[in-house]
Amino acid sequence: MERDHDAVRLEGVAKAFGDKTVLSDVSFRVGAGQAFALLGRSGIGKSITLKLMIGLIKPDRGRILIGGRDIPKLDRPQLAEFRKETGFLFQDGALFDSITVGANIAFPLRRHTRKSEREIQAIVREKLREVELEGQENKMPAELSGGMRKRVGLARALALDPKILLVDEPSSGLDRITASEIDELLLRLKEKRKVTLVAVTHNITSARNFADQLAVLHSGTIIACGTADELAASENPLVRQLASEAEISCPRKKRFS
Amino acid sequence: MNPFRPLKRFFLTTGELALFAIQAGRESFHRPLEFGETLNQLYEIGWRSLPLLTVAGFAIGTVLALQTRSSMQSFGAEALIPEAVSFGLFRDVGPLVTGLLVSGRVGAVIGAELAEMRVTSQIDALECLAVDSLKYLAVTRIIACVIALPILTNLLNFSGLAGGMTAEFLTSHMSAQLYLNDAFRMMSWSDYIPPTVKTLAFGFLIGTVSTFLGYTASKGAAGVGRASTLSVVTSSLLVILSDVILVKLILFWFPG
Repeated sequence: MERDHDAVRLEGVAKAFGDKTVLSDVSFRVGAGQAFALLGRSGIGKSITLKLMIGLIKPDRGRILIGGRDIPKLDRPQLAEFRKETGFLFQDGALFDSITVGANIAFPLRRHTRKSEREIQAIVREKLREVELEGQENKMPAELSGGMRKRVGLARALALDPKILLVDEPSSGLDRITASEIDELLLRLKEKRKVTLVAVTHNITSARNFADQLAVLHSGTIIACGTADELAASENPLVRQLASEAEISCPRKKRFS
Repeated sequence: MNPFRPLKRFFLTTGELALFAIQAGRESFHRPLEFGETLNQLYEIGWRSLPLLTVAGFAIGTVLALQTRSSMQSFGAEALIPEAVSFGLFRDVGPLVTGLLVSGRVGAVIGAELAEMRVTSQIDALECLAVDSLKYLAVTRIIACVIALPILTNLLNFSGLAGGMTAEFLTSHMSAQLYLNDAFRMMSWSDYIPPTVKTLAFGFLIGTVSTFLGYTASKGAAGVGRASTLSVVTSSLLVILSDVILVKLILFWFPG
């Protein structure tokens, strides 16, 4: 049965590259305004799942429904419209390194809106304030640290006020303090802006900081899905191992409120 | 190792390049036309090549005049030097050298730049921001190359003419007016227009090959280096090969 309040729904999604099957049967759903984290070891197909969701690659099988749209069936103009409503934060920010931080954030605004340059600059300043990088608009991406690049990437992803935000490995390559700052930022965005958040990460400690629901991807399929506590109580040894890693590195009481 | 594997790879890559060129050609007529980015690329590809082409043209013109003088002197035909230099430059040396210089400078830049963007997910980021990356990155660069090549060729030709004129003034005190009169006395439009028009093909080849190799680069820093080197080598080679064919065609259609 169709559930209209699902902002994101994947049904039996499969993807192979040549002989290598990356995803064999991935299904999950995310309610509107919820934060969902897809967990799994590196190279298991998490980023591929996100790329399938944004339409960068097409699945071999299955349905990907986001905001009522069947993503693999969209034509190019429809896909462009969908992408304007969906933010995507890349693992390393994927900032355009030939232009400034401000120009990076202004890029989608200049492309897709008819706002005046003054309005665009105001939005750029507002987005930078939101990611706690006020006054950095004239810096070049090469001058930024890994955490700052991610924040600018996030500001750019939020420039068009998306309803859905897809995040690829929010904490990878960052120290624990910077990683938890990014998690806090994501949690704040979700609560303040009511965006639907789908993040993929190998770090359960990071995921439980901002996600309402977590799912574990293994061998091309989802092997467990639930809240952080439900995953901790799972019978599956792999899930238990992941959950125990979180217990060691981040006790439950430290969760952001 | 299968001996046919490199051959199969070659044909596959050629096929992919042809499809890329067709897709880029088709996209160039669809909206948005990306005027702003094309102008930006014209600046990067055309304007920034001006110093190299000007200096190279002047040096080539000087060398051509000096070399021609040494052989013409033995026949007592020094008066033909300006004509020989201008014919050599305008009919073939100018377009070919411009093609090769632009292959080296621009091919490397485009190949490395796009490969770097591919490797660091910037091309995916463009797509995620609802921008047609093929059009924004490839089509704009190809159009800029096609527009820039004839302009740069003219610049090199006239700079070469100035070089020849300077060499002649220094060796035989020939006046600029006499030199220019002699240089263009026997020249007709068919010596100027077809060779200049053929540089449009050079521009298309350089733009298409280098954007293709950069746009489809494989992962990693090695992929960036490979795309950059291959862009220069392949586009230079294609410029030379196409020059052979185009010269033959020009001589067929515009004999004399």
